[in-house]
Amino acid sequence: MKIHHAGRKKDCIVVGVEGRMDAVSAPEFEKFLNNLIDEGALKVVVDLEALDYISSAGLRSILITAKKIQSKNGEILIASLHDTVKEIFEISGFSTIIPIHASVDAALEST
Amino acid sequence: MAKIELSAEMENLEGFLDFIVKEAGREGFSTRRVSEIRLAAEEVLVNIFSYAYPKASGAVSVNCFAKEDLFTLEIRDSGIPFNIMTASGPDVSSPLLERDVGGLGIYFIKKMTTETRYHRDKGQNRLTLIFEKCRQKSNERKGKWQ
Repeated sequence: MKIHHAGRKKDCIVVGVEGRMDAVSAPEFEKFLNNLIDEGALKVVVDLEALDYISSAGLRSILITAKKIQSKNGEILIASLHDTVKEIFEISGFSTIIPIHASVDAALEST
Repeated sequence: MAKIELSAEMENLEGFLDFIVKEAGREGFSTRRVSEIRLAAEEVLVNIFSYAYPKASGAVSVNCFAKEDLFTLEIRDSGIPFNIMTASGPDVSSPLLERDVGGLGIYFIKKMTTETRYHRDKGQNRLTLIFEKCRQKSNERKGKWQ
């Protein structure tokens, strides 16, 4: 898994994640997002266009960070899910509790 | 048949999964189906790494078999007796702030496999996961989950 800052647009920070978010790599995602939240980020768009795989550990990390940012009245927006990753969000019910957008632009427009 | 045996530690997760993915890919399973097999295997292995050996270290072995349109994983550990398939799943309709994703892994295993079997045998947990080439077909046959 690779994670990087993909810029700041409007009042949102965009973060890109590539590869696989599994039990080994998910803590790294959580740490990265926690740092952003601790630095004051309130709206974070997570671009998953290049994410090929996610397990329950990855979803758990997204959920933990979503809860943390919600407690500060902020939000996490997920963008650009595809194939297996999209299906995992759907069957787990995550797509009904965390806003999912077709693209980063669509996520930004929604805020 | 191909076999891998390593100690039950998170640092070996990628080693186990890469091995399983290679074996399933070699049997002509689609990239998407291989990814679903990886997911089910990860959920089982992470559970074993976390809970099977609370006091000491131990090993996990994975046997891969293929026959016609079926790919089978037999996962064994010598840890505390535990059948993951009888553990309760999550409430997938609960609101975000109330949600506990603890049982989500089990839900994924059930969703991705065609059939699972558990045996406690000679001091070992033996979990067998069977995958058909096409998940949709097997899900239709066993009916809608939950």
